[in-house]
Amino acid sequence: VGLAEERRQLTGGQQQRVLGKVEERGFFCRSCGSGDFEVGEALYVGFLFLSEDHDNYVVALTCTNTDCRTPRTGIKLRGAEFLR
Amino acid sequence: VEFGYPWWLRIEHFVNIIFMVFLIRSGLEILATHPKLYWNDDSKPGSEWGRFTKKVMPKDKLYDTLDEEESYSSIVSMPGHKMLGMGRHWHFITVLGWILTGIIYVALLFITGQHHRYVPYSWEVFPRAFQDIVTYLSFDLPPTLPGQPFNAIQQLSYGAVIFVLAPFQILSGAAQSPAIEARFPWFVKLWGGRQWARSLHFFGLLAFVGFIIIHVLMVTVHGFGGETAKIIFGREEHRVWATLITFAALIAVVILNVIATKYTLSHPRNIQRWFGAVIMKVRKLGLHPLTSRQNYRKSELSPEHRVNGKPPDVDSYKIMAVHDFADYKLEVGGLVERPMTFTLEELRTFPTKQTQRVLHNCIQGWTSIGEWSGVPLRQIVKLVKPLPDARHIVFWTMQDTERDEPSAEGVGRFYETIDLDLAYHPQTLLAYEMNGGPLPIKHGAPLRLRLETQVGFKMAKWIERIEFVSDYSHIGGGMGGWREDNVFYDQDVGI
Repeated sequence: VGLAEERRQLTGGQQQRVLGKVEERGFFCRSCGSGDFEVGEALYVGFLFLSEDHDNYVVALTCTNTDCRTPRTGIKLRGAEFLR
Repeated sequence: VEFGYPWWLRIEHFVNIIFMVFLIRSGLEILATHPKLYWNDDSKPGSEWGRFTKKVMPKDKLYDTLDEEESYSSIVSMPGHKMLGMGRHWHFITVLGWILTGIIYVALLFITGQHHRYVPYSWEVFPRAFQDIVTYLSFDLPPTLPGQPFNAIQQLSYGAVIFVLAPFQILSGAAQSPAIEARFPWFVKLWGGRQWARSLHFFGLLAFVGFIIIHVLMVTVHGFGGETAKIIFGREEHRVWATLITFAALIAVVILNVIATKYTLSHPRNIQRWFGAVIMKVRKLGLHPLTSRQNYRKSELSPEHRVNGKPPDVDSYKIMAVHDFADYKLEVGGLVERPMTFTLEELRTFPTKQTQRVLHNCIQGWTSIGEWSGVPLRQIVKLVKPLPDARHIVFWTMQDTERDEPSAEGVGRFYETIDLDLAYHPQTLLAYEMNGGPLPIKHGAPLRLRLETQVGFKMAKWIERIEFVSDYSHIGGGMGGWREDNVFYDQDVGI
């Protein structure tokens, strides 16, 4: 079974731009406080969810701290911020 | 046989007027909930041949069929104001009475020999009927057939309404039942598909309305007093009284409709309980035991399956979704010997994976054909072992209707209940895949119910907990589900 139709894989450059936004916003892991993440796929939420602006995505972030109890989180970004 | 107007025929005629008015008005209420008619079972947006709405749907935002619902006036629909649940209750309670009256009427026609008035015994009746139409159009009255109370066109019209149109409406209505479609897929195909049956049912409605208009016009043309006297007193006498009684009866029918409509709008729960008590018994007897045996071809799958319900608009859900629901857990508990928790991965690697290609029936009237894969619910039931008291299964979802579904009237967490025995049906499935891919978010990811003998709203999406209970009266509004509590649908919906 392949990737769900709403999610998309990101290129290396796109992942780097996401990490740049993580740093710029001071985003940290709510479980362990770490600021180091691996970037996963992006979910286009602008179409599916009423509260979301049209260009919104949620990008998967996984905390790299191996002791973190809930490492899976995400950051909300506009497509223009990382999909170039 | 002496063709007269026996007392039972006259009573039936009046009762039929009442039933027909309620049937037509409640039918229009049901149509209002999805005011589009199709010749394809995909119900693809834009492919409708009939459209009774001016609403335009957005292209850049997910919309569902609840957003397409229309609110018709109580003057045309029963009860009006976007109350599908009430419209259905009136339609089904009336149709039961109408069918019962019809059976008694037809039986008495044959027992007494009165049916001969409606049955043509010679091909000659057709050219004579044509000649009768020409005569009417020449502002004259055609002669009656030899030894008959009617002329040829009257005989053919009445015969067609009683012996063709009425059964046609009953059968095309039955062809829209998911339970019947699921058990006898050939029957719905006989009609050309579910949407053909729905469209033809609509043409049946038009035919009835057309007949009623022409019938009343002809009564007037033939002499209102004399004709109404026949159907009130049984013979042409007391014409003035007959006219007055007819108008009084019509006013009574209007008053009955006004009272019924106002009461339905102000006390929908009472209607749901009273009518539901009768309707549910009939459904449990006739439709509930039917099991799904569908297997549509891959080529028949809808390119775009329609959607109802909107996904949980909350960050925790979106984060879970972007990680392919790795943190998802399905809790199964309540009245069971072994409460269990499953991750999505555990469900995906469950020893039994079942795939089925089936017709989805929304309560609003649209359909789509989809392929669903997942774990048969009976396998989960087998693992958790329900206690002897368990009678129903509650599916708790992640959807908050106030937050996620503004087009639905009501608030609170969405849930639905089903009777435990439905879990053992061969095509009752906890689906995590659709059309060969992961279940899309808009269709209920990560997990939704497939219950092919019931209408769509019972198939809870975005499920997070399954609970076995002995009774659902203490849950939510106590009616057996969020839609039952808030929009007055029935708990068991095989049609």
